[in-house]
This record gives sequence, structure tokens and C-alpha cells, in this order.
Amino acid sequence: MQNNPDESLPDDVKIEQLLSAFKPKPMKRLNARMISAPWQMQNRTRPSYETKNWLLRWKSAWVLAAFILVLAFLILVFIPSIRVAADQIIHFFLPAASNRLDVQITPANQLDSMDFSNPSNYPLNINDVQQQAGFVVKGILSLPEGLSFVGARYDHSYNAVTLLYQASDYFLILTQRPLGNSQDVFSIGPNAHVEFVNIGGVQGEYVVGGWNAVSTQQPTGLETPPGTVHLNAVWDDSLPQFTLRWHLAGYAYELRSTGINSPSQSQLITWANELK
Amino acid sequence: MRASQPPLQDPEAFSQLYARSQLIIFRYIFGMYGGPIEEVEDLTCDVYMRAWKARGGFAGDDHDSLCWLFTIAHHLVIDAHRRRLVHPDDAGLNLDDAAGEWLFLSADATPEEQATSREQFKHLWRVLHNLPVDKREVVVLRYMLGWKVKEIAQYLHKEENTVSVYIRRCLEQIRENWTLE
Repeated sequence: MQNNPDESLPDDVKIEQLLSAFKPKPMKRLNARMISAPWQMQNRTRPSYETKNWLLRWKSAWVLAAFILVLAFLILVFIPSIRVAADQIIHFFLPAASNRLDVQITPANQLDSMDFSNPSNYPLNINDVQQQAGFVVKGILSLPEGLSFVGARYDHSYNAVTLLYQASDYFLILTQRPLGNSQDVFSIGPNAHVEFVNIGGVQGEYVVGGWNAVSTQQPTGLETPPGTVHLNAVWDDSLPQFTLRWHLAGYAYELRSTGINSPSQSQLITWANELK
Repeated sequence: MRASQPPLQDPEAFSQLYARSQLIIFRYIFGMYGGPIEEVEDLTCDVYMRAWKARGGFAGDDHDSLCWLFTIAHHLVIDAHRRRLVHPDDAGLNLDDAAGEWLFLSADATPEEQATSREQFKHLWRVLHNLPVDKREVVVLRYMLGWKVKEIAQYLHKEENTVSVYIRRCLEQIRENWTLE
């Protein structure tokens, strides 16, 4: 023990002051040791209150999102006007399920389904086809030199009117139908490349390619019904078919050109904008 | 004292108790044991490890949990003192200069006054640790931890007046022993 270094004896107040002023703190070593304490380790393996809270919020957000999706789906399904509006906003090609298409053609609709490029399949004029379809049919307003209107046809199965235009080295096919339960006249393969374009302020789609028939089984007389033709086709991006498709004011339009010297995409868009 | 806490069986509740009390327990052990700081830290760790193992038998609120830790710390300090008596080494009681940094001295004090206070404190520290354990504990609780007389009385299960008188006698004994050291 050392001798008193201070000769003056402190009074009680001084002693109290000295003791009260002594505030030792542990060194970092203590906290470093306590990091591996068992309660800290177990805490680390359990979600904290904040984590639990965050998980709860996250689950709630998913439930809310799912509810909104279901609600939106029901609205789209059960309210026709909203369905049509949504269809106009979110219009897109409905691709076929497979790149291979198997079509069965019966004698009754053989001509209807086949060969949209054959002029003999377009026996009607605009007025006649309008009467059959029951809606106003639009056509290309000003035809360039060399392109002429061939005729029109109405397909009951699609509730669609198709107009055929012909130039010396390509065909131009315009289909139109009211939006609703009808299906697209021209389907595309699931792997087809879709390019989005602007047509009259709405979003349209532009696709290059078409279905290429790879085999046709001619009727043998044993089919049911007799005369049925089986056609197998595959989607081919290299086919010289150029399709522009868009929805506008409750109608679906398709403008397709076929032929190596088909008009450019911009020309197709120009015609699409000028339909009257 | 604050309201009751969740059961200490829960690691999160124990972790909160540790965070809330570790500085108080450290200072209590420092005051009771005297140092060196490494041994004080070891004892502090031991307190919580023992409490963790025995937490299943604890039931009580926030105040009770703190008293429970003090009881564990008290026993550990007594045991450590006994070991120190067997292997005497008063190095821990000779506070190094770092102890001066823990003294919150008045900023108005001159360097000479501050140096005097540090030397007085070092001497006081030795006097304090020659007091009996029960007296030392009261001094530590009252001054180093800043407890009120009422809180000390509650902890020791004694009357407030008794505690006040006891504190006064502790200070008298410190003064009496001052010149003997």
C-alpha cells in the first residue's frame, strides 16, 4: 500500500464528488466477447420484431396484389364495356399453341378457310359485304398506281370481312371484325417476332412470316365427313408475309401483304392510318 | 422502476436486459472488486452467463431482474475476493492513469486541481476497498451508480433511514481510514 499522497483530508462532500465522478466504461473487448453470447446467437437465428413486421407487411402486400388482380380479372370478364376498352388498350396477337398447325378442312368450308390470295374467293363488293356483315366496312382510301381492289368476302365463322387488293407482284389483304367473341382470322406462331408500332395513336403489331403448308392429305373418300382435307403447316419467319394488326374503336383490323415485293412496313402503316 | 418485462426465457428479452444493464453491472463490479479492468470484464461476462443458465428459474419484473443480476454479481465478487486473498495481488487497486480519464472532473478546475483530485481518488479507491463488503456495496450503489437511498433500501430490504445512517457511517469510516492508508 502506498502512503497518502495528498496531505489534505477531504471532507464528505469531496469524497462524494470524487466517487460520483468516477464513471468507468468497459473496453471494446467486453462487447466483442458478448457478440458470441448464447442469447445473441439465438437471436440472430430468429427473425427480429422488425423482420417479423416486415414479413407481415410483405405478405399483406401480396394478398392485396392478388386481390386486385382477381378483382381486375372479374371486372374484365363480367363487364363487357371494360373488356372491350381493355382489349383496345392491351391488344396483342394471340399466338398459336404450337409452331405446327394441324387444320382439318371440310368440303363445306374448304373455300372459306383456304387461299385468301385467290381472287375468285372474293365475289362481293363493299356494299354487299357490308350488308352481309352488318357493320360498316372500311377500305384503303387512296390506292397507289398498280394496286387495285379485287373484291370482298364475309366469313361467318370469324364474323369478319376480308378485302383483297392486288398489285402485279403482291397481294394486300385487309380483314376487319367487331371485337368480341370472334377469333383472329390470321394466327401467328408462338415464336414469331412481334414488333410494336403506332397506328393512329394506338399500339399495333407488325409480324413477318406465315404458316407454311408442309403436307396436305387429299381426300380418299373414307373420311368423315367425306372429302375432308388434312393440312399440316409450320410457322416460317422467312415467308414473305407481312402482317399489321391493331384494334380501334371496337374493331380488330389486320392488313397483310404477301409477295416478295410487298410494300414496306411504313407504307402499310400509312394505309392503315388512312382506312375509311 | 419500469414496468414488467417479457420472460427472460426469450433470448430477445435477455438480450434487451443485457443491453439495458451491462454498464451498471460493470460499474458495480468495478466498484466492488476494484480492478484490473480485464478481470472486471471477465466477471461481468460471468454474471450474464450464469444468469442465462439460471434464467428458467427467474420470475419477476424489470426491477427484479436487475436485482437478480446484482445478487449474482455480488456472489461472484465475493468469490473473486476470496481467490485474491489466497493469491494476494493488489495491482488491481492501483488504478493506472487511465482511471483519471474516467473521472468527470470539473472543466473549471485548473490542471493542478485536477491532478490533486486524481491522486485523492487513487487514495480513496484504496480506502474504499479496505471497507467491509457490505459498506463498500452501499457506497458503490449510492455514488458510483447514483442510486437513490429509497432504491438502495428497496434492494437491501432495509428502512430508508437505516440506509441513510449507514451511508453516513461509511463516509465517516472512509475519512477515519484516510490517514491510516
